Amino acid sequence: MNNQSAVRLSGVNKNYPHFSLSDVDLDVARGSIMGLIGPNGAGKSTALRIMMGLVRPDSGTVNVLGREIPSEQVAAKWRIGFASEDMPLYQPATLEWHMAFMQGLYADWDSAYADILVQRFDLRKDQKIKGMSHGQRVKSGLLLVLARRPQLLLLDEPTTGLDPVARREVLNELMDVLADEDRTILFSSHNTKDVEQLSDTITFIDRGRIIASQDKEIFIENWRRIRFEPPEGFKLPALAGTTESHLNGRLANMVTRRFGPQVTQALQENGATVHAVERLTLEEIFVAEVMGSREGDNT
Amino acid sequence: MNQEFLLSQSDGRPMYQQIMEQIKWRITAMEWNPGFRLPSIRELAVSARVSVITVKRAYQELENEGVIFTQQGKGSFVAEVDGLGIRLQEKELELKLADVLETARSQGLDMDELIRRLRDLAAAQKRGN
Amino acid sequence: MTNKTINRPGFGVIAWRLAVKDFWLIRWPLVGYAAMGALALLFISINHPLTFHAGLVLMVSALAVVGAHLVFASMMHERTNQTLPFLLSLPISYLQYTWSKLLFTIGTFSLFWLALVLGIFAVVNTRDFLLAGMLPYDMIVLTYLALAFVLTLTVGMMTESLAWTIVIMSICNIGISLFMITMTKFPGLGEFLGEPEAVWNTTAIGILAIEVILIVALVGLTILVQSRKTDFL
Repeated sequence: MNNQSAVRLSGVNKNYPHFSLSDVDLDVARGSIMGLIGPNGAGKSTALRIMMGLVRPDSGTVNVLGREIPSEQVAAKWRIGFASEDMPLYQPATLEWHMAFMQGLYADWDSAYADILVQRFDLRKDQKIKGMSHGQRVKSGLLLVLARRPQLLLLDEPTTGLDPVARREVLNELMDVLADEDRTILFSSHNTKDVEQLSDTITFIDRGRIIASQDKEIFIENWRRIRFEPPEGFKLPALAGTTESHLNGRLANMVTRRFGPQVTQALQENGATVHAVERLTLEEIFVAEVMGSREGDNT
Repeated sequence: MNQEFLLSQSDGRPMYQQIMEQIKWRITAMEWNPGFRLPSIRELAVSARVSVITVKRAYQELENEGVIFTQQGKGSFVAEVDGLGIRLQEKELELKLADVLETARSQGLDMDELIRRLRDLAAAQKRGN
Repeated sequence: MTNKTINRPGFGVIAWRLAVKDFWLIRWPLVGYAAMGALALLFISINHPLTFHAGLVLMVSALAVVGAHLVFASMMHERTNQTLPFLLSLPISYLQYTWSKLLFTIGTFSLFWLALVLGIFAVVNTRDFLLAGMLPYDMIVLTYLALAFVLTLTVGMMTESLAWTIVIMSICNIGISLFMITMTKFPGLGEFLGEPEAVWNTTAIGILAIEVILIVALVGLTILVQSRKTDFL
């Protein structure tokens, strides 16, 4: 068993009437941050819930912090913090009540840090959950897991629906988790900017399938948009990895997922003048990957 | 580390390059001198609020360029090269000049034309002040 | 910081904490029911046939309502609020969860029940106009209510169906009046109601014993069935 993995999914399948998670393989290295990006309904929440033992997969193995899920899930959960906007707290109770509840359960609850988080997240301890806005509820849920300093944080859309200030605060706290190289974060989001900044590894998921999973820097390095000026009668050379191309007279561009000097070379050899080679944002890469994958589904 | 590493996401360049640049500035400004021990990858990641892998990349590229060197288990250090700061400055100017030359060439300017343009530009800036 | 040396609360502590959580969440209604019970005892201790009967009705209602609320609370706390995912994110086993529900419902009900039993004994023994002869009858009625509660709880926990729970609860509640009337006329029991001293004859003891045996059997059955279920899903 690879004890360098904080989370390991192998061949996980889960079938619902209108959606299926198919053949999911995922490996999150200890001490790293993985961002899980996907459109709504892609299966991010389901994947996270399977890791927590909240959902039983139909097949495949799930291993979290060296423990088999679901058979050893209680042992694993002592060191896992799970937060999801889809996980309501007790409405008639206050934040303080929840904090006391957690403190009574977890020996590693840091109440000094919890109080600091209340300040930072601009929350009120005596406020009832049912009186809170969406953002406050999300922050409360995060606070309740962060103050335990768990070894693994599984966060389902931790910044979704938060105002920019709140987002910044949450990201700051997540960064501090990083300082401990023994702690791991797996978070799902459709905010590619957050993922791009924080993550070591990025996994794209769409329609229940993992489309790609790699170190962020590799993604950023492999994808390029090339702007060039083609001569008359230019034909785009066949290059492995080209995902799209637009030839509009003098302004042409192409996008490739396998950039290398051979690409610009091939263009130049065919008479084109290369004007610019640009990196793509994570958002553009994500959209391109998803489109590419869906096209593959449709052919 | 009392200096902040400030990175911008809206800056067009990848974050690892921004980190590299800011490290080079510190070397040029003589805040970080040859032999100085760089913060650990993780420390810098936390303080700059970026992922560990981005800092790792920056350190690797800097090592490839000979600006820093890494000792297994001890950390990374500014390269023990005399006048490293000045060398970096020169390198930076060289790169920018190469860029200008390339652009000029692609626009079909010859050397005299280019020099004349530079002089005009300098004069205009002086007038502007 | 190593992971193995952290102190983890034991099985019982966690079950207890969860039970306390459930208790705390309905604390105000419980205060209300306690007030009802206290009022019932107060009425019974007033020397007037009307208040006496009102007191009895109130006492029976209080216990019935507490039982109903506890059963629903135990079933509904996680269901309606959808806080089940929250609980599942905690390191608690299904067994701890089940035991916490049992502790919460049976424990809380027992407190009320005991309070009422002690209350009625105290009131009867300190008021001259109240005849101790009614004590066996009262005990049988109160124990019937405990039986009704446990039956409803068992059905609720085993079927996890709101519909069935309501059906059973309704049957039991309708049965209360019938039971009470039947008992006042029951040979070996009814005729001693007006006695100044409590008559604990074989009839009275026998009925009580049957009730208690049924209660114990039902609780045992619930525990058995619940321990078989291995997980929440």
